[in-house]
Amino acid sequence: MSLRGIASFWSQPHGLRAWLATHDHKRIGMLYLGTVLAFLLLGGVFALVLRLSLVSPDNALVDAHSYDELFTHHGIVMVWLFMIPSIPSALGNFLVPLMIGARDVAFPRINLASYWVFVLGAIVVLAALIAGGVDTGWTFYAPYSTTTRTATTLAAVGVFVTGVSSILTGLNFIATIHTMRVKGMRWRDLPLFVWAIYGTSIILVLATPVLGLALLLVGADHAWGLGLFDPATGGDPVLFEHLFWFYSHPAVYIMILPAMGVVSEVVATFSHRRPSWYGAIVAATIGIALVGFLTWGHHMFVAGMSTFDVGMFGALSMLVAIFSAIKVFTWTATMYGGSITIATPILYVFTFIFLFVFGGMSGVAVATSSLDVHWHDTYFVVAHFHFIMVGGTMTGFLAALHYWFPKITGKMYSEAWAKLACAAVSVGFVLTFTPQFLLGNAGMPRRYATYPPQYQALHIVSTVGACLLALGMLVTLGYLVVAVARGRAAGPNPWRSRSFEWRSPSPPPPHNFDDPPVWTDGPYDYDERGAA
Amino acid sequence: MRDSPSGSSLVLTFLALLVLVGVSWGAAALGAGTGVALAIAAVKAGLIALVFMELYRADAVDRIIAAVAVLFVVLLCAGALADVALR
Amino acid sequence: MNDDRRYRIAVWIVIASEALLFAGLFALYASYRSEHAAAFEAGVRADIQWIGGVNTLLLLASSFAIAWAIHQVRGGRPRAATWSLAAVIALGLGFLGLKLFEWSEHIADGIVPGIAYAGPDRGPGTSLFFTLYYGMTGLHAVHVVAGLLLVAWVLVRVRRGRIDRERHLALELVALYWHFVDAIWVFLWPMFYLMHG
Repeated sequence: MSLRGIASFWSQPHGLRAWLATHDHKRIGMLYLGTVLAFLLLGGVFALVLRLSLVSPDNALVDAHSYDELFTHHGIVMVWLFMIPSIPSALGNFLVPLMIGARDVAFPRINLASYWVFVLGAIVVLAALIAGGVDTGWTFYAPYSTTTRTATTLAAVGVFVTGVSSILTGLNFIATIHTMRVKGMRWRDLPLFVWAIYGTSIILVLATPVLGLALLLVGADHAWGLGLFDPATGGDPVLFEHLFWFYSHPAVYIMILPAMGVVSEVVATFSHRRPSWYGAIVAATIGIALVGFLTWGHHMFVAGMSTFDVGMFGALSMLVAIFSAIKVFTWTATMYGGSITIATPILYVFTFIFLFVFGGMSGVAVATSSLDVHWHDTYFVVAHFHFIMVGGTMTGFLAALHYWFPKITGKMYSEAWAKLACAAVSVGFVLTFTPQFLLGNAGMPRRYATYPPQYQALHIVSTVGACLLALGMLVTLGYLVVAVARGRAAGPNPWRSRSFEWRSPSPPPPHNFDDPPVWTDGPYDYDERGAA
Repeated sequence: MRDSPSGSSLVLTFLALLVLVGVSWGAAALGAGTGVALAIAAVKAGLIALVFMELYRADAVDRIIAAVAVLFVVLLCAGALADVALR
Repeated sequence: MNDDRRYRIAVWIVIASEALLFAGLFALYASYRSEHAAAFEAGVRADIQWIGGVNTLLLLASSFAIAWAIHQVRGGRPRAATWSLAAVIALGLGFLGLKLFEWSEHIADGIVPGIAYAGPDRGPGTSLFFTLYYGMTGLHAVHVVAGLLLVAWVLVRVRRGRIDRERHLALELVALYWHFVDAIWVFLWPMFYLMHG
């Protein structure tokens, strides 16, 4: 395959319309990428203001109502406008067809539609944040969400619309992976990232409609008094929680499975080794996707559920941890005995594994209902899910950005700056969120604007960490942008990976492959001594 | 793939559904409980899915999607009901 | 063949998603019925029985009609298929017409969804029942409308010869959606008309 004189997907076809109305999965991935990065920035700004305001116990910076709005907006933007779409829609769209030897996804026009529906939903959400704000927390619990005089209905509609985009994305990936694999590629030849996207897509199409209904009902109650969760008519607010968490627990697996897929790819490439126990990782991926639906009640241990449900959901929650553990062991086993190249992507993977293990163990801790009674609605839970979502997903996202940057742009970034930023992000993260475990265990509740003075020291450490984390992220954005403009040429396969997406030029041409590729080997065909 | 449904199998399925409508109505008149009513409904839905929607001859993928969807609907109902009913 | 498969998988996924959309309402019905059994049973008795029964027959007949239309198309008899599809639309419109009539009767009695409920029966759970009634039959009716538009679309294509013995995937997929809508009603009928305890 000739590497010169091939127009890249960036320049062909020309023009703004060709970008905004594109059917090219790579361009749609880039549209998503730019958009979700903007929302990451927005959500991060909310977080920074929150942390700065918490430096003093009496919160001189923001009043209580504004504080409620800040953590709500932070949650809504981060969860639905960044975390859910980030790896699947931005990177999955770019990579999946390349990884299976296809020219595009199964339904390119639906792919484009999914992007614009997402933008529409995001605009409605932003409108809600501006026109009155939302103060219910990202969880929209009734009865507060149905009675508070803020823009709850508008926000619910906005999130509902982004949910439609999610379903379209998941549908497209499932159809693509089933029907567009290059001839001869069996399921057991699929790269692990593709398996991860497949598992994620199952959750996207099955869980999101339940959220859609829950938000519909809350919005209708808030706007027109539908009253399905109103105790005055015999309604039960806990039933809202059942509907909400039936989606929102699997949703966290939408957030982590793609990141785990990234980790699998980076581990294989940088160890120059076939993943140990490929079948186990696949089984664990599908296991997480399905078993993740059985555990939602662990968010409701103290909500007033029956003891039966408390016990059942607690036990089932332990089950999911087994699959995650299997993955950590297989990644470790793959690296052990491999010939590891140290570069930024694998450094982020080390960070991921380290932080994910702690995050996961703290998950098992809060899944123990008798212990959760103490930790529920404290900073302990906040620390747990940020360890997974930032320490896990965010780190996976950064690993992905650094790993596939040369594939997407054809350029390479400054490794020195990248390592520096990785250090800042990792140390910043640990400083931000480790104190929060201690805060929560010591009784500091979440979503409180003010607090007794004895918690101040830990809050200050956490805020310092947040500033360092933010700095690391901004520096990352900086050198990546510089590299797009002035980075040196990377060549088609700088990491000497055997995976299929590295067999096209960097950046790929619009149609990916001139002829359907013939791959007689697998995506992890490293020889025993670890050379490519 | 097996043969598409014959005209007579379509007619027979429809007649079976009509009979089941009668059974539903009769059971309700006799005061049968919610379990019976829903069970008869499930049989009707099963006939619609298997014969009319041709699941009896569909790809494994389509069948799995249908089965998982039904399972998860039941799962949500069971989880919520096990809370409310057993408090 | 691959084209067929990807569209078929896509439609089954859409149906699965739609099933999960209704799932929350089924869960609410089950939970609230267990908490307010008497009110729910009374609510079921208050619904207009003959409409529930006739509507069920109309939808089941329409499912048969659309399956029959596919059978005709596969047999190379597009005219018969067109008539069958027309029957689906007529039956579906009949369903909607009866539904609207039923709702207007309820509204006249003050039975409206939500906290504005002003119907004859009171007490905890009663308005919940009727809110769920409007919510579920309403959401279902929206899907009936969508289904009818799709059926009209394939009817036109059959008439124009764009759907024939060799290529009729669109008809099969629209039929899948229509059968799903029918299957949902198969559960709504006992839930709101028959299970009066």
